[in-house]
Amino acid sequence: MLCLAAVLGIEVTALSLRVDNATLPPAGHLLPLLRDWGPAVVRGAIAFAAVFLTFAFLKSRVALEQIVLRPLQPVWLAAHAVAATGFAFATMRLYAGQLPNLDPDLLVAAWALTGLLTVALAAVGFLSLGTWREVRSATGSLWVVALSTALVASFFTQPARALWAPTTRLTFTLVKFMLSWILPEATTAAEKATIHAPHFSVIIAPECSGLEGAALILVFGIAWLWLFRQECRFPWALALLPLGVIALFILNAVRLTALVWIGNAGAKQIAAGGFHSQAGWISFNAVAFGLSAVARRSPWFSLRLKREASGATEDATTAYLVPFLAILGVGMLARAASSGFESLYPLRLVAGGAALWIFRRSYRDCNWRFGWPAPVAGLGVFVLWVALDRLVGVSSSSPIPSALKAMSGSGRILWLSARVLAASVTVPIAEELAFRGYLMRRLVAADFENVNPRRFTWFSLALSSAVFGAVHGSSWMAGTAAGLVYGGVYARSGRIGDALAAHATTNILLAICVLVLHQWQFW
Amino acid sequence: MSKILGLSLLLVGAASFAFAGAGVAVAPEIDGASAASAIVLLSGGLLVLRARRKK
Repeated sequence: MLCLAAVLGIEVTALSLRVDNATLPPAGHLLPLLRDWGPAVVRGAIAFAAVFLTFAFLKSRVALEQIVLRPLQPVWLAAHAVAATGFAFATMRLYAGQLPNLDPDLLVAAWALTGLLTVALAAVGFLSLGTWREVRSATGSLWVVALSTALVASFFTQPARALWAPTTRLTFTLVKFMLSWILPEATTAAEKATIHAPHFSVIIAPECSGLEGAALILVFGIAWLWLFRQECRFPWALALLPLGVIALFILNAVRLTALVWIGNAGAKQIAAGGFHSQAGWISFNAVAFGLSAVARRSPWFSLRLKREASGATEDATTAYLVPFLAILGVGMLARAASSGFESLYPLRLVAGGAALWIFRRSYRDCNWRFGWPAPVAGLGVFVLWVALDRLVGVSSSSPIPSALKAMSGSGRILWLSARVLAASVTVPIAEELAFRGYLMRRLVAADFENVNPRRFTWFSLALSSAVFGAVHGSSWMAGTAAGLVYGGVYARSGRIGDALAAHATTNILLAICVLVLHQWQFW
Repeated sequence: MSKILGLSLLLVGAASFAFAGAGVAVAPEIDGASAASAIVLLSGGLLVLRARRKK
């Protein structure tokens, strides 16, 4: 099922990068319908997949693992490949308005049927009809819940936009109030939700009104209270939901106020560049993490404190995850203070190095030795990474060369040294500890420290690699492939040192490629 | 662990709405480009928060 989801996910993502809903020609009856409701159908499909996979994983994992899988059906998969190629070709033509001289409604109907056929062929290629019946039996009425969520997600978002106007007005009022304290010379125009500071202006668009974050924290809060309901003290714990929404709403107003203040202070590129793209997520993470910590540790909201009156001790999770999380968290803050070029990148090196130093005693039991196959695997990943970069063509012009030119000589050397040192030392150690040392083993058993790395499962290898790929942004495909190779190296030898050597080799070769051949897109 | 993973999956699904439906705002509250890193960071933080077991 994971392979099916991965294949369909990759195909849909690749196709969606090539087409734009706005370019659909307004011919016939079905094309306007497709333009108006196509995004809603995609949202519904995402909602169905998210709800079904989440709750199937949480509630029916044991039953699903007992289903005996039959071999892949190459004939159906070949038919899927043919149908997918035809569907991709037809989609490109349809969205480009290059329609043959036939009834457009007939063409759209044929196109939609080809799409459904493509999905169906993949479904029976990976899992037989009998297996699908067993999945249906193991998950019970979950599909009804997932379908209901999908329908709500598809059709409720349009009416929900009616809330945009009042929330925009409220956010505007809050920002106006905050600015009256820190930037009294700023003027406002309520009818267009515009704020003019002497050197910088912003319009509070509906997407900035705080509604998105409020909805996201509501989903997070409800899911948290449901999943950990046995630890929560009800009804008091329900108060966390409005508290979370209010906190995030206020933080969004603080974000917009800071945006105006930073832009007005002269750092317009930082305000419109890194700050806006990171500040929303930093706020959301802070509120979601704070909410979880309070729900778990406050006696008002948690029953757990009574149950665990006896002492508790940390396991090695902290030592395995914190170096990576420190690099990731500091990276978000550094990007928030940047205008495209991450001038504060050396902080990532410091954060990763400091965390590794603090937890150094926890790594004594790790086997750091490695053999010659590991660097060879690293070389293979390097070749694959470069090939995928050429093939997929996600590379864009990098701001690094021009920013480095503008720096002083010593600043340039410091930045490049920190970048190379982080890429070859702290990042590989932190990422291998987190993804191979922790996640790949933790997906096998709760007591991950006692899991032999050779005892991996395909699920643990695939999921840890997919998450590893996800944190590599636009290079997610190369990142996932690299994760599979490093995981394979780790599982083969059982030594974290081998995975680390492979990872460091790849990063060193990419660094050489950047510095010698000026291929800056690899950074 | 499995609950945190489930929670992350739900967040990925829910967050995709935020940026899939977004218009052309210069400063969107939820930026799709940073979603994966942010959700991995939050999930990792929650795993550390819950990484305590009885003696």
